[in-house]
Amino acid sequence: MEKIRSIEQLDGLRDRLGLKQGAVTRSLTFCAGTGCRAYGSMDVVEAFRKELKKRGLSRKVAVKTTGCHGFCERGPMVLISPEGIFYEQVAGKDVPEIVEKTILNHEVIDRLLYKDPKTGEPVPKEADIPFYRLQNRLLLGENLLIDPTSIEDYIARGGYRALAKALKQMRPEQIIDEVERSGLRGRGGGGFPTGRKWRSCREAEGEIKYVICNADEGDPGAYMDRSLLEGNPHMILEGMIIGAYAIGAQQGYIYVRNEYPLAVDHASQALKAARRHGFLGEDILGSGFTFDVKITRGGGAFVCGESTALMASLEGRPGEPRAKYVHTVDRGLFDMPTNLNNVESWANIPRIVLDGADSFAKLGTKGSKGTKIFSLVGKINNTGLVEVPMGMRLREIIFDIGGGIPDGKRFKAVQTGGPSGGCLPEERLDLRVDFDELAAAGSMMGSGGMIVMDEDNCMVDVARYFVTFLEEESCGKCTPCREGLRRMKEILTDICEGRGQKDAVEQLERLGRAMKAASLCELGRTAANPVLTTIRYFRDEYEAHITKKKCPAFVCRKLVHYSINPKKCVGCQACARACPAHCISGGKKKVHVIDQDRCIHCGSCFDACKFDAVKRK
Amino acid sequence: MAITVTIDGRTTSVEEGTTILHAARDLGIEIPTLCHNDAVEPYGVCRVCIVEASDGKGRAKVVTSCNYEVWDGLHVQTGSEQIMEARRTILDLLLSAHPNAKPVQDLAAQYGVTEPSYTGDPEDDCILCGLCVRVCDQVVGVSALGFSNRGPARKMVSPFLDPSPTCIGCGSCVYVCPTRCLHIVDEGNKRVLYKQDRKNVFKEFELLPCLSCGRPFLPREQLEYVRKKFKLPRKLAQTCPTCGGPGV
Ligand SMILES: Cc1cc2nc3c(=O)[nH]c(=O)nc-3n(C[C@H](O)[C@H](O)[C@H](O)COP(=O)(O)O)c2cc1C
Ligand code: SF4
Ligand code: SF4
Ligand code: FES
Repeated sequence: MEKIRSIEQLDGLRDRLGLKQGAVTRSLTFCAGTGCRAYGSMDVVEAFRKELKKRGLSRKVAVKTTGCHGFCERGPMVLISPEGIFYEQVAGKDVPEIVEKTILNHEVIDRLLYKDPKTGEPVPKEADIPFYRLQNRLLLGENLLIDPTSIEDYIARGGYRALAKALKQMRPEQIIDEVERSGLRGRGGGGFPTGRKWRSCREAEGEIKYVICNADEGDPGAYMDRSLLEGNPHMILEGMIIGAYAIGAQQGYIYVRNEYPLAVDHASQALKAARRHGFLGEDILGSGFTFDVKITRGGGAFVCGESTALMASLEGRPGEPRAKYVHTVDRGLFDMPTNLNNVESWANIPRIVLDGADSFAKLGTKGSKGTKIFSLVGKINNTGLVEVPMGMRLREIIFDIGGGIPDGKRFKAVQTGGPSGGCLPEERLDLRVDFDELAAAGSMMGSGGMIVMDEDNCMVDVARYFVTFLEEESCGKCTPCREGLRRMKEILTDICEGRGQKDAVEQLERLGRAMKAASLCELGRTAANPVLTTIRYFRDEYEAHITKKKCPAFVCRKLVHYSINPKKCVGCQACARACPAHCISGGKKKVHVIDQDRCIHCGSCFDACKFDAVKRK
Repeated sequence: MAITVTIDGRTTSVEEGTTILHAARDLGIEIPTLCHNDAVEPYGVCRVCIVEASDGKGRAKVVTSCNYEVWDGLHVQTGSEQIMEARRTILDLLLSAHPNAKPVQDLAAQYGVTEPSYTGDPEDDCILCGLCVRVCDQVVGVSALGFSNRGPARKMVSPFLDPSPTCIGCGSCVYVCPTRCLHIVDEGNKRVLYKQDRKNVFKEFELLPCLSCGRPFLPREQLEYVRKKFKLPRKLAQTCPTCGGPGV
């Protein structure tokens, strides 16, 4: 491969690749992201390849594997182009039928179509599925069109055109102006204006400067960064090269979680391909600019995603945060000016440079521009990745795109922003999701996690769950976070187990205030959010636990009491068989009784009884 | 360049690079500290030295005075209501975890906390201030101490677990430890370094005799370290301070 040195050369290559791809009339696109692979998508791909070969169709029908499409609930899936037909939960045994009917005879197989949960009607085309239709997939949409291991695919879609424009036609300051005007704010949590960060780093003094891509993604349940890096690594790389040029950096790092082998693999392949094409290394695109990128695997601790801890870990020191009074843009990695951005922040850069700041700033709200990817998980019909313009209402995301709550249950709360985000109640469903609105409601954007909870969730238990996670992940360096979380966990456990003191809520609030004000890093400063928001919006649940010793959602075992209604009991013995403590007595056709002293409050009898005779309160 | 700062309504002029803690000391304003010692770099972890910092107009930020460097026009409040409450909570938390740590007891009492709110370990006086770790690294230069584990399980240990191959038994860590939970004792020709009690021995040393009076006084590791670092002849290096040796 000859290195590309000019815009004309790049455009020529793009056109040739585009023509070649256009020559194929039919194509089958498979999601081969980590989620769908776990459902067996690669076996289905293999089955298709074999079937097409058997029928001599290998040359006429292209088979493409791509990164995550976001609709992870439905994998393995296949998208048939140009019709746009979408089949979900496809198995190897469906393959001959799909080839025979749909590919050869243009017949749609109803059984494999997505059914609208509201109407029960099958939806043949992917574009008409509400989950996709209501999104604005500026970043994720590309995942469907690109084989992440093929730089040609990326170039054919106009990839590296932004880099060529930046290097050949723009001065570094101009690029920074453009990014600043776009209003892009960091997607890693803090929402710091990206352009401003770049400018500070450019202006900082230092012989060597670094740029880093934060792909640590330690939030449990979040995987937007993984999906981007896995599904479209060149887009992130292109963003980083443009950023490095604008800032004046010579070396870049991608700090990626060790648990993301596919992302590491695709990113490594992308680096090699980019070097071969002259997008990385010395004299990039003949511009005289020299820059390269290394991949470093993170140790796995949640706190390593924090900027100063990440840099310490990159240097081989313990991954612990330090005070940021000296900014990392002035003295970061190896004490040199360093610009750290999140995967999704970098991914937005090529489009901003190519289409201009205005086209990006058209989307979103006053203070938050562009789109944001959220991972929707928990009690929600359409689990998956969702990309929407900033400012969309929570209600639309959860009910229209997410398809609402399964099994006809009632929505109770949504936790946004990862483990230290806040829990927002039904009254807040009309909130327009952006950095400032979420913060005003006591929560945060974080990296974009959304965990939906329904009537069966106990909010005190939820707070305890997150505090337990954070207590384990706190580095333990500073007092308020280390000791505050430890005591919060003790107090919440007491409340959940019926030992809650009268002033427990006050104590939690007092600890929360100290942690928020005085912790060293953002982990400690935000760690009280789940507790403070559940107190703010669900105080009655705390009171029920503390004063009445009751758990209204019947989650906190020790507070739920089971008894058998003699009027309804038919003596079927189902409960007695199910009870692991063997504490239910009563023979066949006799009324059963629970020995309260031996009952372990597990609820097995409640689940087992078909006659509604087991009461809980 | 001199910089003007206002602390609790009083203005002073200090050198660039001065921390709030030192600027306040200049003015005779006392800010409590537990993890600070001028001999080493600030670490900013106990968080009792928090103050409010602002430009005098905008919203104030809570910062730690031991490692926040002043800038021209900085306004500082060392005892606002928010600060006093947070400081009290932090001291309560520290006293709860380490009820017998003397400096914590004393400082907490100054803030009206005499009874800790929670139960802790009466036999754990280490407040994780990291002074020993920093002295060993920044002053002695052998980095024989560190921390293990995360969250509330965090512990001060010798890294790679004991005995540390680099520890020379100089006792500097014992000297800086604010809660006196590190101990070093000489018993005949043996020196023992331990934390809290004899169950946590970090290292044992063989003591070499003074070449002049014959009293065992110098760990072998220290002799080698001192000879290498200061290029001292053996005769001088192995003479105890009483007999005119250099000491460490
Ligand atoms: C405990 C903690 C964990 C974090 N984890 C991540 C992470 O996994 N990925 C990330 O991009 N940012 C993470 N951040 C935010 C980073 O510190 C930093 O703000 C961000 O990477 C900057 O990039 P941005 O400006 O593009 O958002 C974390 C912050 C904290 C306090
Ligand atoms: S706030 Fe928590 S995670 Fe951050 S430095 Fe303090 S102990 Fe470590
Ligand atoms: S042993 Fe002493 S000096 Fe070392 S961290 Fe513990 S309290 Fe601080
Ligand atoms: S003295 Fe400043 S944080 Fe401990």
